[in-house]
Amino acid sequence: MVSGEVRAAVPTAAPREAGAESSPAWEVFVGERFIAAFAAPAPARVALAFTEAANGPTADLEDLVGRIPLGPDGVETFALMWWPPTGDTVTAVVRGDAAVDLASPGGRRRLDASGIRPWHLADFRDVIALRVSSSGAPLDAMDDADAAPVEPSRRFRARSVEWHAVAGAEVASPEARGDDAGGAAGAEASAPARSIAFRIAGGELRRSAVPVLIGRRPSRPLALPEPVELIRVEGGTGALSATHLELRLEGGRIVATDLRSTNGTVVRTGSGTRRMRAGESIVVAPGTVLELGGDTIVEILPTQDDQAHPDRQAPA
Amino acid sequence: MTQIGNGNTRFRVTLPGGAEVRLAWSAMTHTGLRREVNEDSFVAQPPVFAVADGMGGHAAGDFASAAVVTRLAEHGGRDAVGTPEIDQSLRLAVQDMGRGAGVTDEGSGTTVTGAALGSISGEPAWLVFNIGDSRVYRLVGGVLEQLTVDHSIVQELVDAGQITRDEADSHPHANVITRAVGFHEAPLPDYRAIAIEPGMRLLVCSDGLTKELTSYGIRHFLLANPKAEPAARALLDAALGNGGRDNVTVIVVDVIAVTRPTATVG
Repeated sequence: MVSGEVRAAVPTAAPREAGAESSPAWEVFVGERFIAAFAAPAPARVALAFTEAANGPTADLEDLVGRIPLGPDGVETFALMWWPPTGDTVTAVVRGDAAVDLASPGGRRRLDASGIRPWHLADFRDVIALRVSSSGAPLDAMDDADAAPVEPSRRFRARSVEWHAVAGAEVASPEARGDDAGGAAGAEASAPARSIAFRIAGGELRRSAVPVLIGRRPSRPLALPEPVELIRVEGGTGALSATHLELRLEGGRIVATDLRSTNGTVVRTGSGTRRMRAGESIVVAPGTVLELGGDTIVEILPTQDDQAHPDRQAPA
Repeated sequence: MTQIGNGNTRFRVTLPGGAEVRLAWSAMTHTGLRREVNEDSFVAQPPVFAVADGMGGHAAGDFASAAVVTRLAEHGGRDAVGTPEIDQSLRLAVQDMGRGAGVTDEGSGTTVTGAALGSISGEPAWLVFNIGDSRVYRLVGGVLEQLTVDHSIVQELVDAGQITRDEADSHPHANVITRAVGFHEAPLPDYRAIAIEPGMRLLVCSDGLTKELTSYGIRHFLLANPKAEPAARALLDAALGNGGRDNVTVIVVDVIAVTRPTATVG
C-alpha cells in the first residue's frame, strides 16, 4: 500500500443541523497499519483493546481480529482495514452492516458482509482510496468535503472515514506484488519506465519496454502490429528455433511464450523444472531461467523498480 | 479425467454445530469439441465439491488434476472439513505429482476450486477455496455472484484498469494463470466462508464453461432448471453448443433445507 492519509468528518459537539446526520456514526481507531471502525458507541472492552493496538507495537491482522469479541454481547458491526508492511495489498474485514468501499484505477467496488458470518474478508490490490460505509449507503464519490486529515494513533468518532493515497504517491505497480508464482520478494515498486530485465547466456543485462522475440534469426510475426525488439542469438546451436521465445510485460507480470519452437523451452525456478508446451504462455518471476537449447539460457532479472522504496510508507 | 462421485438428489448431513443440511447435486464433465483428452477432474461427494483443470504436456495435466481430487476425496464420509484439511490435501497432491515418474517429469500443474461443508463459530458454512481460474458461483434469490477471484493475468489487468472485462475474454493471454497447484509451488488457496442458506445453489466449474458462456447465460440456465441434474446438463450442452473449445466440467449443488438444532428441540 502506498502512502496516504486518513481523513474523517468529525461531528462537532453540537450537530449543525439536528437530524441531518443520515449516515451512522463510527467509533474509529487508527493505527500505523490499520483502520478499525465500530458502530458507535464501541463497547468499552473493544475501545480499550484497540486504543492499546493503535498505540502499541504494530499488530498483525490475526491479533486485531482477535481483539473483537463476537457471539452474544459481541460486536455486531465493524469494518477493519489492514495492510502489510510491504506489498500493495489491503485486507478488509467487515461484519454486519459495515461495508468498505474501495477505489482502484479499474473502478470502484464495495465489500460488504452479505450476511456472511463471522465476517467477510478479502484482499485488494492497487487501492487508491478507501471509505468505511454501510451496506445501505450509495456507492458514490469518495470525497467528503467535511473530512479533515487525522493523526494516527487516535480514537475518534466520525460520520465518515476515508483514506486517500496522497498526491504524488503512485499506485504501487503490480511489478512486485508479492509474487505468488515464483516466490520473489514482495517489494513495493513504482510505475515509471516499466521494463523487462533479462540476460542471455550470461551476457550483459538487457532491458526492454516492448515485447522481446528471441531466436536464431528472429522475425516479427505478421499478427504483431506493435513495436517489438528482435534479439538474434549469435552462435546459438541448432536446438534454437529461428523465433523461439517471446517475453512480454502484461500489467506488472512478465509472460514468456514458447513460439512453437522445435525443441521446446525448459523453465527452471528455485523450486523445480518444467517443460513448456509448444505455444504455451506462463508467468515468469525474476530469478526464473529459461533454457532454449544449447547454451542459450535466458535469465529473468529483477527490474530496478523491484527494490523497496525506503521513502514509501504505509498511510499514517 | 477422474470423476469421484456424480449425482445425488437427496443427501442429509449433520454438521458439527448440530445443524442438519439437506443437499442435492449433479456433476458432469466433457472433453469438449476441440481437445483430444479431458484433463479436468472433479470430486462431488460431501463434504467436498471441487473441480481441477490440469495443465502440462502429454498426460501430465490429467495426472495433476486427478491427484488433487483424489486427495480431496479422502475426506469423503466426514461431516465437515476446515482450511487445514484442505491445505494438507493440496500439499499431498503436489507431492503425488512429483511421484508421477515418466508422466510428470517435465512438470505438471492444475487449478482447483470448490466448496466444502464446514462450520464456523457453530454456524453452517461453505468454505470456498480457489487456486487458478476455475470458478465458484452462488445463486441466491435469482442473483448470481462469482465467489472466487481468478488468479490470472487478465484479472490483474482488469483490476488495474488496463483492460475492460469484455477485452479480457479476447485477450491473447486469457488462459495464463498466476497461481497453480503443482509446478513445485506451495499451494496457496484463497478462502472465503459463505453461510449455508436454504434455497441457495452453488456452481463449481472449469474455464471451459466460463469461456463459452457469459454470466448472463450461466444465470439463465441455472434459473431455468430448478433441479440440479438438468441444470448441469443444460450448462454443459450450452458450452458445447457455443464451441466447446476446452474441457468443460460443471458441478451444481443445491441446498434444499437447513435445520438448526434449536428448531428440532423446540
